[in-house]
Amino acid sequence: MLTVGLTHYLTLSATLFALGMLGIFLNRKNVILILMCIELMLLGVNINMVAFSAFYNDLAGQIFTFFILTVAAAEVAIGLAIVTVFFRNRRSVDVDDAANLKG
Amino acid sequence: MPLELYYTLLLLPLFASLVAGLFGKKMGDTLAMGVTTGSVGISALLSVWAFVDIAVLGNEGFSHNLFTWLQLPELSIGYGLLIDKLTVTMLLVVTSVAAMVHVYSIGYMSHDHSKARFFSYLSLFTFVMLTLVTSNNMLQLFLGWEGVGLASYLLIGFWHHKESANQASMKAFIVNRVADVGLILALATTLAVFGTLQFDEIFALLPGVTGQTYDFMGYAVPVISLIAIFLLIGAMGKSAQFGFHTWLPDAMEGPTPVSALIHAATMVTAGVFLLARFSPLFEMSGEVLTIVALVGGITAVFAATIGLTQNDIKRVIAYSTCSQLGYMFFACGVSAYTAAIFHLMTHAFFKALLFLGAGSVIHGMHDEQDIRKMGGLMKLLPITYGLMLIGSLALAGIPPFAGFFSKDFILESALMSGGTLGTAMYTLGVVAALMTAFYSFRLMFMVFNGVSRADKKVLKDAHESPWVMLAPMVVLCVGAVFAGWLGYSMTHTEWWHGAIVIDPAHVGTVMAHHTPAFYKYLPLGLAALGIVLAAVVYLWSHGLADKLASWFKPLYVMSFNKWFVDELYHRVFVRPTLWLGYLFWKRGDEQTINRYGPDGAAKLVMDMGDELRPVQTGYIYHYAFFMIVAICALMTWFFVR
Amino acid sequence: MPVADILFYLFASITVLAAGLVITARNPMYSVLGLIVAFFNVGGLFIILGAEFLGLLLLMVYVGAVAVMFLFVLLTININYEVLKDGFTRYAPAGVVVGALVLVEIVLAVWLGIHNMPAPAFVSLPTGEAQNIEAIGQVLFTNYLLPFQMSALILLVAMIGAIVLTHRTREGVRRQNIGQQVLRQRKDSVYLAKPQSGKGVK
Repeated sequence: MLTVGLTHYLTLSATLFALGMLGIFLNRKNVILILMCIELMLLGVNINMVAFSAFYNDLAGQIFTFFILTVAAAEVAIGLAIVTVFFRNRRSVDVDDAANLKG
Repeated sequence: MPLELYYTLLLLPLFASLVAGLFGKKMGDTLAMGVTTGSVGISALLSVWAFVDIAVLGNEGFSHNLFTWLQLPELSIGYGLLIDKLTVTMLLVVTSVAAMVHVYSIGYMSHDHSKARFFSYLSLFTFVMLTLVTSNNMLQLFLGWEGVGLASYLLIGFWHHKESANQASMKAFIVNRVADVGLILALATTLAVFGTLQFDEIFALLPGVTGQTYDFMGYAVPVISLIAIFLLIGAMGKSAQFGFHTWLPDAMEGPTPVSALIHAATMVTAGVFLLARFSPLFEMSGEVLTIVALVGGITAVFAATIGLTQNDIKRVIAYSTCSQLGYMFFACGVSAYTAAIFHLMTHAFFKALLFLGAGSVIHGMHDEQDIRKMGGLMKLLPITYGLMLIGSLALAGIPPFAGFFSKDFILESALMSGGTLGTAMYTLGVVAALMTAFYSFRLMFMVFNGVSRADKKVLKDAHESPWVMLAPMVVLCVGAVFAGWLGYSMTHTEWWHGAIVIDPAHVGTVMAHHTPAFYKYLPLGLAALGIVLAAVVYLWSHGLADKLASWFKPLYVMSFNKWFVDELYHRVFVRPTLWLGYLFWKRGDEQTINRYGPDGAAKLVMDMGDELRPVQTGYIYHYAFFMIVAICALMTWFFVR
Repeated sequence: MPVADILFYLFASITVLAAGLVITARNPMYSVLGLIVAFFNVGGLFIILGAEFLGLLLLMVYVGAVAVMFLFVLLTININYEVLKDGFTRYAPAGVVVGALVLVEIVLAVWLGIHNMPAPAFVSLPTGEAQNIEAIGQVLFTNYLLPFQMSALILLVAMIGAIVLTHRTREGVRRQNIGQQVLRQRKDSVYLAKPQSGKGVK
């Protein structure tokens, strides 16, 4: 049990994922923190992928991680650009102000 | 006559109707009138040729299938022509009267704004009527049947800005439609029994089904009688027999040429044509023939009684038409189909003549139609007077005019067919003949003779009609005079060469040529008596008419109010139907269907929208929250499964 | 116990602690630093697993670009820290429940489902040859060429998007328009004024 096997890596991945979700729940007001928690979740998924790839000797997992990395970077770029513009217009990162979609 | 010319005869009016109808505005009225009148004129000439070919020279007729429209394993329905003596007779009648009416309308409708539309409808009617008479199967006949109903609707309601015209056209169509249920049932039953709708095949199979019956509520109904009854109902509607007659007087709302063409000479005779065409079938069901005769006899007398008191010039002639149609029906009822068709032909000529003459009077009197406001027009409209006089004499049955030959032949056939039915029909017939003569000449005397009761201004402008209106009347007059002599050979069954079949046991038409002299000349005597009586009341005395009306007040009221049949129908059929319709509309449609359907659904959608709108808070963390919770729930669900 | 296992437990625990820091830190700068620590440790985990290319890539991209981006934005905008922690405890219970539920589910799925899968066998620690990069390269540009190009497109779009979003024209900035300068003609710029003596040029 103590010898590290696939399940340990997967458990770690699940933990990171759950922590990321919890983070979104807790930090509702700070958009940047939400983005960081999304990064955490993606990190957990990356671990998952690479663990499977290593344990089953299939490179597909690592390739997929590669692309997840790319997309995460792009997403953060755009997200932060939006935050920047948002702040520029409103002088605050408080998401309560961004309620224009209110029905 | 070559086959292609038959199809030309048939299709030229359709072509003209489409051209005038679709392009009338662009073509201009004159061209539209020219195209339609020319087409129908050519059709008339071709039908004269056909008549000479088949009827006079005695060449063989034929049946030709043009194309198969519907091919089922058990049944093949197509379009085809059946040309025999009956067909060419009807062709001649229909096209000649139609051609004359077209020419007449050029003059009569000269002040109208929608001339092209009128002529298009007239030609359309001609085409569908020709389809009806030339068809060689029941479905095509039904097509023509419905087509003439449609054309009648369009033409009666031609002046569609007049409320009364719209109502009259709807009445005509609806009453016709109710009766057409009978024809449809006949079609269905024929199909069920014979498995085919072609006339020649049906008539060939007839002997095989004599004993066949349907079981209906414990009674064994012979199928042939069943088909015959259904056909009769259909024919009653088209030919305005008693019970289905209410539409015919109201149809006078249409222009007079329409009345002349449709409601005197052609459409209303479609019912008689139907009976004659199915003579092999009717000859095999004696009970139905009795009903036919009774219907016809009652109609003949009934309509004549109403015609005695009417004051609208066209209505008098309309009821006269109804009465004469009754004659034709009871002629069929006593197996004298030949007499009926003969009378159909002569009647077409002199009745159309009378209608066109009435139109001429109306035109000359600036659209005045009430005969109480006429009188003394003999000097002012001499040609019209002369022509209408001939027409009325023909109608009354005075020799040497056509009506004498045909009407008397009917009466003689009825009498000599033997039995109580024949004698009863003869009696009804001569009573109606007396009344016919009376009201015809009542009309003549009130319109043309005596001191004028018309408005001074109208009288000053009263003028004879132009030649374009008088010439067709002259042509029809020629028919009214000579059709009786020329057509007398129609009274011999052999002449028809199988187009009309009369059971040799029904001897009416054969024995009619040997009627005892008293009965032969009784109708003539009564007709003369009728004319004299009319002269007494309306020409030689003053105020006798009103005195008679007050002495016989109950009879006068019944007659003048058309025996209250319209009112009865209104009470019994129209009001409950309207009530039912109103019920379905208000309660069914508006309150129920709309409430749960469109309106309800719309309201539901809006309400739901209002309820759900608060979910869109606009706050990002709410959205994220929901997203995560949803993902979690989804995972749980998959996990639990 | 092999060194790999010890290293795993070390890296794993630091990662979890860093993630906890990310979530709970009062100052967002601490959160970013926690994130960076987590990235580092996960990179180490990747190296243990034999995916050294990916591990170093993680460092370069995530730490070197993404985290730095976070830092930059945090530094440029002025945030009121206290207000931002406002709703922290309100949804904490629900969040913990959801998080715990997710965690439990995944773990259970893994532990229960692991039997259905073929026995995993960890190959070995890397021997020093650059096998990982070579292997990735062999697969990436052949089998996965299309996704590779697509990810390039995504990056392009992200780049353009970021620029478009944040670009603003500043007023009052004088620029040269070379084309306009070259096309200038004498009649647009010079006119002969004939002032009378004593009066100036208008």
